[in-house]
Amino acid sequence: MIEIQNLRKDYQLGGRSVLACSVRELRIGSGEQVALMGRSGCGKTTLLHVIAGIVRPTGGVVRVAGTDLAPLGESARDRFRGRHIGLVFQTFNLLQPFTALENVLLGAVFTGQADGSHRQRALELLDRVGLADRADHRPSELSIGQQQRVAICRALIHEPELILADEPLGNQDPETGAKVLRMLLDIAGDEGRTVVMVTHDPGSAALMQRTVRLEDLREVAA
Amino acid sequence: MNLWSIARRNLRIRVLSSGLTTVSVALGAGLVAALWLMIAETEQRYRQSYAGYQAVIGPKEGSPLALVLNTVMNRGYAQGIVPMKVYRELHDGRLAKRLGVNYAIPQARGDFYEGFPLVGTTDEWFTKFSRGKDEAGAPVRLALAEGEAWAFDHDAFVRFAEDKAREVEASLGGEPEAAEDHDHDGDGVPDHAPGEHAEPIPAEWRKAVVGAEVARRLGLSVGGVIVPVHGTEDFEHLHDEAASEVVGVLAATGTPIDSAIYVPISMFLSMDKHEAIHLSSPFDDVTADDIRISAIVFDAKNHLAASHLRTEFQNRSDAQVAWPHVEIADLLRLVGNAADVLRIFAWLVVAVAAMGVCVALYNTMNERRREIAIMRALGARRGQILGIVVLEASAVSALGATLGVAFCHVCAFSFRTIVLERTSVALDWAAFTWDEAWLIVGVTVVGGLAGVLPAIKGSTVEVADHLGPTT
Repeated sequence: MIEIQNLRKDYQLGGRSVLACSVRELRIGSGEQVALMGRSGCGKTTLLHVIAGIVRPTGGVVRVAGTDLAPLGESARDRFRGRHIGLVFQTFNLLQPFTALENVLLGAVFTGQADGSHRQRALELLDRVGLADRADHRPSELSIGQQQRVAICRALIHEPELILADEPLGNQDPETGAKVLRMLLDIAGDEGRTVVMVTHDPGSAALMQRTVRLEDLREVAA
Repeated sequence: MNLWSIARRNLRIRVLSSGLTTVSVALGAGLVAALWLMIAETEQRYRQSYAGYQAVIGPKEGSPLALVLNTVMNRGYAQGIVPMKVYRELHDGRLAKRLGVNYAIPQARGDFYEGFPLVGTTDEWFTKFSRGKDEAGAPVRLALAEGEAWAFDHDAFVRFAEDKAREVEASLGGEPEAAEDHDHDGDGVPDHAPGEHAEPIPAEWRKAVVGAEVARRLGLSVGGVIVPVHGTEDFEHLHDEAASEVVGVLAATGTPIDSAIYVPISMFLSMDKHEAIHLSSPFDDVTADDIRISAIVFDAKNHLAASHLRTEFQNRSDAQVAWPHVEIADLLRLVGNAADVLRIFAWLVVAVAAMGVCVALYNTMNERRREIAIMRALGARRGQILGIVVLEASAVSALGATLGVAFCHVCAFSFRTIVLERTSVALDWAAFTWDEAWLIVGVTVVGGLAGVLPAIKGSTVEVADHLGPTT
């Protein structure tokens, strides 16, 4: 599902080039559930953004679901992300004006393929995470745990091959966090989707099939 | 869910900002629509108003425009006098034969009742004057909504004029009249000069037909009484002796005809202090041709009449001819220049409103960076973000323009009476035009374009910077 070779991502800060992320080689198979760990500032989120096509790598090969993202333009990467990748954020990032159901549907709107079937799937997903009766509630009317479950449904609505989660448990208590994570992994596992999760929490990482430490992947800086 | 529903939700969440922006667009669009409505209605009504007036022959003094405004539009005062000789030439004299006259109807003006002008004329005003032709090709005469028209025809007018001339001639050169002949109240002071009316005005002349607007405004109907007033606001003279009974009310025409009172010209010329006879020289013989009138409404069968009339009156010293369609077209051109300036101002208001749309949306872009970044992360392309913001701008503009046009029609309905009273323009408040549809489309497009700048700003948000804390 994911093949990375000699990846570099530099940012220009104050006229200087700063290395944000460096990966010599990383392979993640289809349907795998992988935890990505590392110390703060080592580039975990940047790597996730590169895999998602949100940022373009400075160098190297990033192949996701058979597509090399590095040479793609921004619009093509946006389209690719919309169709093949589901994202779960640390701060959930639900849009306040929209209901839980509409927030879930937003995950499909930009694919250009949204239709009536997505509404049915959104309701099924909300039902599966125990929020069937909260479909018409706005994020501000939901608990932290419920908001994260909505965010998980949003990442799954368009049936992506790959789900990328960045500290998806946020500030939830460990028990609730673990419960929500299990929901995500269960659904992803049932549907055969690949999950890559950035986390600091060893307990969360233990729920994944494999853990990768970013420091171990680092290429020697040029 | 689609881009439109996202745009709609964004507008709803910022209801105050969206509402104020919509109101500003509505004001601009409403102003443009109101101007268009007024200009279109004014032009249409003015054009309708001269139907039936092929030409107006009036005094040499004053401009042709003043003559037309007074005779056709009931505005201003008569600029001078026309001798009856001219009228007779046009009615059944040499000019009538040459021009193939349809009608030549005299008018005498200068008195008012409750601000509405009195028009002394003959009953040809009711029997011959035509406001065009109906679908069957029949002439459209003035119809009576109530009562009947008084009778005083051309022959009666000629007889009146001859009698009046004899009376004056007698008073000047024939048997001198004693001063007491003119002292009706016996106070030793003559009540009028020789030649002015001496006898009470006959009851059969003291009859009036009022226009529809006069009847409506003054609550007049058959059996009512009007008492003419002579003069301006500075000098007024109440003609008690000419108190007349309303015998008919004209059906509405939507033209200035509705705003006048029509009385027999004999009554008008017999009123106290009305100098019926005008002598160019005290040594001339007084004849019926010296009777003074204000204007003659003329229409001819002959298509060449216009050029003949023009040639005829070019060098005459006693009258001039004015062409209502020409004068009113000139007037509309003058008004049109002012209207163009107003149009520019109205479009400026629309432009300012469009700027308002731009600024309002632009200012929200900072607070919407995270929202936009989330949508981008979910796969939204820059073009889709741009589309959402432009849709928001277009929606606000379309709603504003629609409300503005609707508000314009509500205002037209509310103020139609005041406008009619002050300008003689009857607003057709219910008539929606294609221009208004295009106005809504135009304002929507302009508003959408005004949304492009904030949309560009929104679509260039750096996604990674706004998704949350980095690990």
